[in-house]
This record gives sequence, structure tokens and C-alpha cells, in this order.
Amino acid sequence: MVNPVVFKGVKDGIVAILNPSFSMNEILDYLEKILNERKVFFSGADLQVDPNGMSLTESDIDDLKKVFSRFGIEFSLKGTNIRISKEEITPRPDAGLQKTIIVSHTLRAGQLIRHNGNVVILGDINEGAEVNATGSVYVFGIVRGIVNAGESVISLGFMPLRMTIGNVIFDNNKSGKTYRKPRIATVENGKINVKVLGAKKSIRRR
Amino acid sequence: MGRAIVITSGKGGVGKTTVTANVGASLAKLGKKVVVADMDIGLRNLDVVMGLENRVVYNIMDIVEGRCKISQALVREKHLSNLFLLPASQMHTKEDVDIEAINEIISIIKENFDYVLLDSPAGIENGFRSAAAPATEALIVVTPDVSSVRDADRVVGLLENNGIEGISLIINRYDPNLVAKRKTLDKDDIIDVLGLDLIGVIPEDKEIIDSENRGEILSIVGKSLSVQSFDNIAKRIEGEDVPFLEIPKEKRGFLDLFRRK
Repeated sequence: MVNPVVFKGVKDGIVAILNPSFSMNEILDYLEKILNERKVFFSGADLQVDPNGMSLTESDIDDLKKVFSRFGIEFSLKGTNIRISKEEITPRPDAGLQKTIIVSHTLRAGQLIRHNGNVVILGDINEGAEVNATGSVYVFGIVRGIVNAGESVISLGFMPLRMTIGNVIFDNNKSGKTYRKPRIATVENGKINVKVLGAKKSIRRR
Repeated sequence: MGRAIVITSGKGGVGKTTVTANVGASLAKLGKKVVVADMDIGLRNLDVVMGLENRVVYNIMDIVEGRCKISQALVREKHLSNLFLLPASQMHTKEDVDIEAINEIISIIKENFDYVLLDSPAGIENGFRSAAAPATEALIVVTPDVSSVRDADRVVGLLENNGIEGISLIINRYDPNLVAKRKTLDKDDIIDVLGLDLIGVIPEDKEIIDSENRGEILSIVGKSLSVQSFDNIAKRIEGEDVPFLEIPKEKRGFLDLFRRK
């Protein structure tokens, strides 16, 4: 019999492997059932969820969290599955600080990258895609979507410019502005400052 | 072993079904054995567009549920003996579809035909998934407007996640007059955003609507410019290097100034 979720014991805990041919609702129902039946077995276990090729969206992960937290179980998404082609990239909570990940394709509408560290994108960030990073975001392409960075955003072009750096939101009045040249955006004096990349200081007084 | 190509767009009403029928017919005109499969379970349209609604006896869900053989469900097109329709069921909904079973049926068909074109429903839910699952290649249909391009972008992301590698772009209902007036997107802008290989541009053509309502496939019975672009798409799918058509702007003569539009 094929179940929506298969549990396997591994060295450092239990892995729940999702079956991509089932829908998220079936998976959640099944998990609820199993967890109810075997409360004792799972309590306090270190559980990893292996999406097994399934693309999990933000709300799917929230739903999983809800089910597990009801039974007092913490879980992490299986670390080896931080595959860039996933809908969602969720590094394990213990992933090293300020680590850099490289995304080797264009981010398309509906794709979200969230990372505790720096993110390098080899491609565009299209309209409807989003990057959240605690460090800097380097984009070897055009930014059409939304970027929330901790430190700075470097891109070959912004059209239009929408971002937050730290807690600073880019001035909305200028949000229609587009840049077609490489730029670096950083926070200076509590405002987001967009400069031409590699610009030399001018001797001209302003 | 044939090729299974899903034709999809995300947004509805951009011409997936039209493109499926016409590209299928153009491939058949090249002598290929082609099945066009309607994967829009519950809202089937491809049979009407091809004028075969009276000949449909069995459908894909009958095969899944074991009521008929695959060969019994295939409907031969009226003019071309090597073009077949695999109709969708009208009685089921998209939730009833078993993706594994569909995969198996399409892989059996692939062994006996050169091409299986899968006409996907709009959206990114179960219907789209079951249409995309058997495919190894994809044709993305967009119209030159912003919402269509964004939806296509989303769909391309999902297809890439599913490991579909060959993805090409068809721009449908392209009207150079409107582009010149900056009323619709330019084709270069669309290619720029989506970053896909352009395989065809189909001009806005009233004859397509007309022939569809008569239940004839334009690329079999028609002669207009869009027929040529469908034929070119078929040739490019086959690997031929065909230059892109120049879609002419509407010429406005002196007398047109007085003519009512």
C-alpha cells in the first residue's frame, strides 16, 4: 500500500518522506491521523521532513508546522533538499550564519528565496518573485520583483525599484523609477541610497 | 518513441486549444502521426474546435476506468488520416484525475505516434499538473499583455521544477499595429522577461475564430498568414531552421481615410 507519508528511522531521528503524487490536504490528513495514533512514539523526536521532490509553498509549510506543533513536535525540512529548483528554499534553522547560496537560474513569478545569509542570483528576479535575505543580494540580471535584504542589493538593473534594506523601505514616491545600469543599493543615514556600481568620487562639490 | 509536448499558459483564453489543434494539424501535414489530447477534464473544448464533437464515443477517463481500449477512444480527424483526438471527459472534474494512470496512457500512445500534444487547462492546479506530468517538453502560449506574461512566468517556473527542459514560447494574437501604437507589449520585451526560446508568432487573425466556430481547423482548410505561422512552428518543432515571418502592418490607403472602421 502506498501512503501519503512514509516514516523512516535514521541515525539522528526520524525522516518523514512525503509522496508527491498525493495532494497537500491528503498528506496533512494522514499526518494528523498517524500522529494521533502514535503520540508517544513521536513525542520529543527530532523529525525531518523530506519533500521528496514535492514543491512546497509557504502556506504548505505553515500547514505542516501547525499539524506538528499541535503534537509538540519540532521539525526541519531535510537539509539535503535545499535544492534551488524548489518553489521554496528553506534552509535548516541551524544553517550557518551569513552563508552564501547561489541560485543558478532566473527567479520566476511565485518563487521565493529565503535565506539567512547572502544570496547570489545568476539570472533575473521576475515580477512576482521575491528574495528575502539577511545579508546582501547580488543579482546578475534585472530585478523586476521584490528584494528584502539585510545589508545591500547589487543588480545589473532595477525596473522598477522596490526593496527594503534592513528596516528601511525604499521611498515609495520614487518606486516607479527604473535603472538599466548596474547599481548598488545600501542604507545611508536611514535612507536607501542607490549608486552606480563602482562610481568614483567626484571632486565636484554638490 | 514519440514526443509528448504540453501546451500551456497559466492564463485562460490566450489560445491554448487553438494552438494545439492547429500545430497538431500542421505536424500531421508534414506526415507525422499526431495525437492531440484534451486534458481539460470537465470543460472539454478541443473536440468542438476540431468539429469532431459528434464522433466522440469514449474519452480518456473511460480508458482510465477500463471501459475501453486506447485505440477505441481516439477519434480520427475529418481531413487528415494521421491526426487523432483523444477527448476529455465532460462528466468528471479535475480532482478525479489519477496522474499515474494518465502518465501510463500517454506513454503507451507515445510508443505508437510521433507526437502527443497535451492541451492543458488554465490555472496551476490539478488539471495543469496532470497535463504537464506526462510531457517532456512544453510550448508556452502568451498573448502580448502583462497579465498573460506574468502567468506564463509562473507556469514556466513550475514546469522547470518538474524537470521539463525543452520550453519554447509562442506569442499569439500579435498585432504589429497595436505594438506600434504602444498598446500591447513588443515581442522582444516578452522574450526578455520570460527568457525562453521563441518558436512562433501568430498574428491576430479573424479567420481563426470563424473556422473554429465552423468546426474546421484553419491550418488544414485556410490560407491566411496565421496558417503559415502554424506550419512554421511545426517545422521548427521538427528541427528545421525556418526564418520568422514578417507580420505586415495593416496598410492604410488614401480611401481608407473615408471608410468607416
